[in-house]
Amino acid sequence: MAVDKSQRFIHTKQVDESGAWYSLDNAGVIMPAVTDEISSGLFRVEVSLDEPVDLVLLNHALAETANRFPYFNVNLKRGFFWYYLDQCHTSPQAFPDEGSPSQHWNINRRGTRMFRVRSLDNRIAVEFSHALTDGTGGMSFLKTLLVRYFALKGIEPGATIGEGEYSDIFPIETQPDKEEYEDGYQKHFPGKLPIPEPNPRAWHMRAPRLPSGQYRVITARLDLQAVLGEAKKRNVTITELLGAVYLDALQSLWLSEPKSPKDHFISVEIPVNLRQFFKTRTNRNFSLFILLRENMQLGARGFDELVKRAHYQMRLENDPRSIARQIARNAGGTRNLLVRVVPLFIKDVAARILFAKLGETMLSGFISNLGTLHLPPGIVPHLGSVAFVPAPSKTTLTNASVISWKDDLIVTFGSLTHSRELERLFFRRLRSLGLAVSVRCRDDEE
Amino acid sequence: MPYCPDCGVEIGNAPACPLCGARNPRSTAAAEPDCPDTNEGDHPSRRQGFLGEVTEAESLTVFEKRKIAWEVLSVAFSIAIVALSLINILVAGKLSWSLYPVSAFFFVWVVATAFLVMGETSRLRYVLAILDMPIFLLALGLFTGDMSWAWRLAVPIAIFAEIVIAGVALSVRNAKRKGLNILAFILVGAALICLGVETFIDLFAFGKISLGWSAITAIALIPIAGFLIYLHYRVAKTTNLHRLFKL
Repeated sequence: MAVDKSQRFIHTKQVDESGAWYSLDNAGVIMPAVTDEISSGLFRVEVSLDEPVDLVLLNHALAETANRFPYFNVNLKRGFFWYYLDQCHTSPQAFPDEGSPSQHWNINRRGTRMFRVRSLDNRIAVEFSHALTDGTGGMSFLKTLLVRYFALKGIEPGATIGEGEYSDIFPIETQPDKEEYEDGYQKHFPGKLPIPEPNPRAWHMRAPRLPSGQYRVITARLDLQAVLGEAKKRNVTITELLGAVYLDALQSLWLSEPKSPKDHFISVEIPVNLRQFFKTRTNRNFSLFILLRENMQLGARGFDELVKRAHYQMRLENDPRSIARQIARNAGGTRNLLVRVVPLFIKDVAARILFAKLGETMLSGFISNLGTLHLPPGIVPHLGSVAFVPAPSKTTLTNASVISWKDDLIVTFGSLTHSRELERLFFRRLRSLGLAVSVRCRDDEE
Repeated sequence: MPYCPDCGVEIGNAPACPLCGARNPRSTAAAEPDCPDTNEGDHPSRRQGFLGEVTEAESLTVFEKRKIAWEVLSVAFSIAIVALSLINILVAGKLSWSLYPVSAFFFVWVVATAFLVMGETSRLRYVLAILDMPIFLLALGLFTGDMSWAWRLAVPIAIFAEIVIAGVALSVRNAKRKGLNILAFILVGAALICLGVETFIDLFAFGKISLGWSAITAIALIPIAGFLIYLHYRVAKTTNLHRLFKL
């Protein structure tokens, strides 16, 4: 029987005498080369409970959850041609959630897990490396962990998990399906397609950096229905509206530069969850992005104009055929024999150059909307606030993430710079739209 | 709830506004903003395919695409050959210099015909691909009026190189597990070609073989290839290290 050669790229798991090991997915493959202690590539989702976290129970739940997600309980290893993920043979333990989030956790250090769970007082947070998974995969892990934690406390979820609305919450007694760790990009590799048009270099905010190891998080809570109402009034989505607000803030920063910057494009990256277009159950990375861009040489634009343009740019690019061009370019590269035979140390150099050319230099910042957090009704009353913190970046310095929870829309800015001007401009614009904004910065209060 | 008078956002009990650093008048804690530098500064021929509709052009089979490429190449080369020949006749009154580019076009066209039009299992494809280069070199010899360099130097090197490349390609194709062995095969192939080139040059120029630079190259490459083969077939097989060398 003929063996489908493409399967070797799709199925990431292999087993030998030492146990299981996994290939990195197509998006994760570049991350080890471009991450360090500061630009750690760790995104974070945190929840606060209605009472202090029981660390013994949390560690128990974490061990069981990690056992259910063996493809997450891994650390990074260097091969001769590629990085790979080696199965950890121990259970993770929760770390104290002290100091800045997403800092001092370098996946390139030997034996470092690709994620960590942190807890302090009422708070539980998971921080995942983007080399391993995206927000959807990380959220699936956190939900499963929470359900298991509350189960150990005797609180039942009050709904059937593992199916329907809660299909991403896995009963810990079930076995992982191989689709959960498949490479979605390779599964939906469309063959050769025209490569996407090159993006111009984008302007980046320049401001003094915070001391090494500090990553400031500012979280704002807005009324979800009010924001939705504002978006509907303008016939756009919440993501489009917030993307336009971000562009508006960047535009103000660009115009406030004393000398006209050399880079005259401001650009906001909007990550897109590809699961909406391509069928897969993968918990590994499966997202790409759309860039909202404005050429500042054409002059400043009014906010209403920015919203309209953000809407149409999103509509043009947010379609499977446009996205498939990115998949074809990225996944095709790792299938190419000439690329595969290049030793890893050379690939590392090439990855840094590629990341500089096709990565963060073409965006001034990103705003990632994870959507609504759905949890079973039994545990919802036991949760307070929620936040989704973007991964830190030394290039863009400040980025934003969005998540909806109950009646709130929570916008979180993570920043490596002293300057809070971007955040200030962003939330002032939302205020000018008549939206009530409640802002907190944990660093200021601790 | 306290609001920042400048930003208009609700700031709870924070000592200062998290955005602009303005002191919270209702906070008991002193305002110590750590941000002093808040710088103000429907086509009818379309049909369903991957990702929905595709055009007729996109739905062509690989063979059809190759055939179109071959046809375009054939027409372009024909035009170039005719133009070059006419210019040559017009200027020199006979075919002279144009024979070189014309023969090169024929050489490329024959290779293109073999690989674009003929099936993978066709023996004629490989016969044409193998014979094309020697015939091209002989033709160049004929045009220069001196067949000896072509017959005694160029053609043997070409045939030898083709044999080595075919051997490497077959080895790669037949390898059950591809990894460092591929690199080893290529290194061995490169070493053999170097040895062959110097051998034929020596025979042509001096009538005897006295290996120099190619031997040094081979001595450098062969042990590396051997080490790679050892790593691939011995170390990576008998331990779990094959994960290290996954290609």
